[in-house]
Amino acid sequence: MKGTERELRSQLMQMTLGYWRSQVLFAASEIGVFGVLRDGSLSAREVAERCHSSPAHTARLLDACAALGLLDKIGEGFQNARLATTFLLEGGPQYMGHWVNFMGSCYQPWGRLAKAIRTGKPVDDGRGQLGAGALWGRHLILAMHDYAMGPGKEMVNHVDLDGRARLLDVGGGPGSYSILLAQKHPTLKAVVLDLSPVVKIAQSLISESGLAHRVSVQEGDYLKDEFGTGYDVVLLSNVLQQEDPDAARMLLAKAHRALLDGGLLVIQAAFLTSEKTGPVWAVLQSLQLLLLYEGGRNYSIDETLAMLPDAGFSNPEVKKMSFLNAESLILATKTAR
Amino acid sequence: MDVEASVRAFIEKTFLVDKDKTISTDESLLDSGLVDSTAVVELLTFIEGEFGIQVEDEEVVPENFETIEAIVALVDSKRHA
Repeated sequence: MKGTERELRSQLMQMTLGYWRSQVLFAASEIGVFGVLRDGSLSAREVAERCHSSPAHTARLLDACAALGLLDKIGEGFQNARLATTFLLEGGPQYMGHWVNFMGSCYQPWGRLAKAIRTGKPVDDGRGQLGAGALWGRHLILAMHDYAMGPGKEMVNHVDLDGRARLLDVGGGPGSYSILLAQKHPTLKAVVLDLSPVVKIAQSLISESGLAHRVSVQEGDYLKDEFGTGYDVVLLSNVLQQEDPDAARMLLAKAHRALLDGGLLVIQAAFLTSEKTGPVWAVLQSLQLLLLYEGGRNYSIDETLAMLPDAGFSNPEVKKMSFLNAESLILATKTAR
Repeated sequence: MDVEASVRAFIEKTFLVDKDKTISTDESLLDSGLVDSTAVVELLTFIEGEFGIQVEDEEVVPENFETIEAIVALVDSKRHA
């Protein structure tokens, strides 16, 4: 046996301790530790004053942050370590704080995973909360934007939209991929369809990008509303995962109706392997989707491909992107019915 | 230890949950879900350190990392560059 008992014991221990580490990060982020240390080293007492937290307990948290490499402790002073200065200061080019905050907000639902497995129901109404403008929704939308502008950006190199005039970004969230594709294709017009609180954020990001003349938003519920017609491209980026197979098929049928003949369907997702036991990120994300959305799950490439013919799509193409990108693409063409 | 043996040993030790399995040289690491986006950084750190090479983000693509064979080819091409 290659795995010694010592290694297995260590693996098991690591599995039990994961959430301790995560919570140190979430708590530090939530109370604002990294922000108050932006301008340099402070003592624990000074951090506690600015964060309005218990001085003695703050010192203990900061020590834990130092132990995990989030902060450096020099004498009695704490300062942001390189990980924090690079990724945890708001406004920085590689800011990941929105993701940290979103994942912190998912801690509670994950605590009820066993309950969800027993009942077969989500533990929260993710869709309803997104529609009601819950704060975690804002964190999620902005985190998706950060990802799209970082590791997700290469997607535009794998989708050929030459000659395509109109794109519909269904459940487009922050509208990041519409923005990126419009930047790449100077004559492309895109519409980002999503719930009211979400498109407000998208609108703001679109304005910041300077592309408001070509990228617009449409408030709607992709489950209830029709998509409009005459589109050359429909993008379903990280959307099918929120739905059960019946709803997913319904979305594909709607996409078909929205497209011109020969129109392009682009599905982006963190697909599972056919055995459904990998990649680890996608498998675990699938449980998060189970917790937050009725019917939520990640699909395998095979499962997704299998839905296409009945929905009226042909010539499917699977595109794997960088290993550093959790997402892959399935492209297909609308066949006239 | 040669490049292939070294890379295989690292991958099996780090990513294989079933420690009794062996990965063949041309087995797809992507299709098996063995090396995912959160784990690939460990692999990159290993090969950069072990073989004294630099791998750019743009090179972390399926052509170079799909199989152990592909990884070995990448390492060899950089060492002899």
